[in-house]
Amino acid sequence: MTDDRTRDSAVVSLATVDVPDEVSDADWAVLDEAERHHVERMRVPAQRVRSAATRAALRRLVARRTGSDPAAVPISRGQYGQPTASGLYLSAAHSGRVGIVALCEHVPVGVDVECVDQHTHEPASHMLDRLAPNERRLLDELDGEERRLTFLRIWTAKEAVLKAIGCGLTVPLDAVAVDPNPLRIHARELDTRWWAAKAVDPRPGAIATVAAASRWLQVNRMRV
Amino acid sequence: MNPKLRMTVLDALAAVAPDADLSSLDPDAEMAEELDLDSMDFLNVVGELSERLGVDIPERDYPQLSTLVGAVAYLEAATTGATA
Repeated sequence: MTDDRTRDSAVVSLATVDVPDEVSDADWAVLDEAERHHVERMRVPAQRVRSAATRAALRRLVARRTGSDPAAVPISRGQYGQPTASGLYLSAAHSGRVGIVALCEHVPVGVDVECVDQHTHEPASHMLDRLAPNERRLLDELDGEERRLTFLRIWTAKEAVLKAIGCGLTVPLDAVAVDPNPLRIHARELDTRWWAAKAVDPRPGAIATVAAASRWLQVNRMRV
Repeated sequence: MNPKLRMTVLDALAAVAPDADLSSLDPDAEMAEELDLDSMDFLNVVGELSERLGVDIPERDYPQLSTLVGAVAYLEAATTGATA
């Protein structure tokens, strides 16, 4: 890495979670009262497990950085649910049996994951209509599994950027344009900062992308 | 709550999340959390509603569709030409 890249690079700590069959005692023990209430309100059992495991992993990731007790990490959430704690930028996502959490000290970070087996159909036409022109052109040239996987890469990259910005789905999807190969983000009309993204697929069958408000991006994988 | 639009929203939810139990959906709860909808699912619900009702739903209005009550109220205003 050149000196320029070192200076302009965001360092993101990232951990992935294999979601268990049921909420573990260890995960439950580190959640605070608000998180437990949030999890208990969920009507789909699998979602409760995913949410608890991912929230606990995020606490452990922060605790490793700050040297604190995971249960004592003061996590708060923004308008669209984006987490923050101790001045750190955080993001979390889950899909199927996979959770993923990310932390960055200096710039906003976002992460998203989609399990391929939950997206076996073609992307809906109304979804494709919302993509940026370069994304539609690229997908038009592809078919079958390659088309679905490329769509999920584009989607997770968009989601990661929107989560980092903290605006949720309240802006047009084409405000973030993704070149998937190599992975590049164009979002200058939405947010004038540089945006860098990286594929961080946790395992075969799961597409994950992390993005940060930086020119380059370095990912340190952690175990939590 | 407009019963016809309520049924339209429930049908759209069922189309996107066929395994979800919609029978006792809390009308004031966040549907995404209640029904385990992720962002892509939510956009697919919006797409279904837009197509079924022939209304354009801009992104800035998405927060108004987060609950069943909110979605029905928004769609009632949108389909009658009132300001949502």
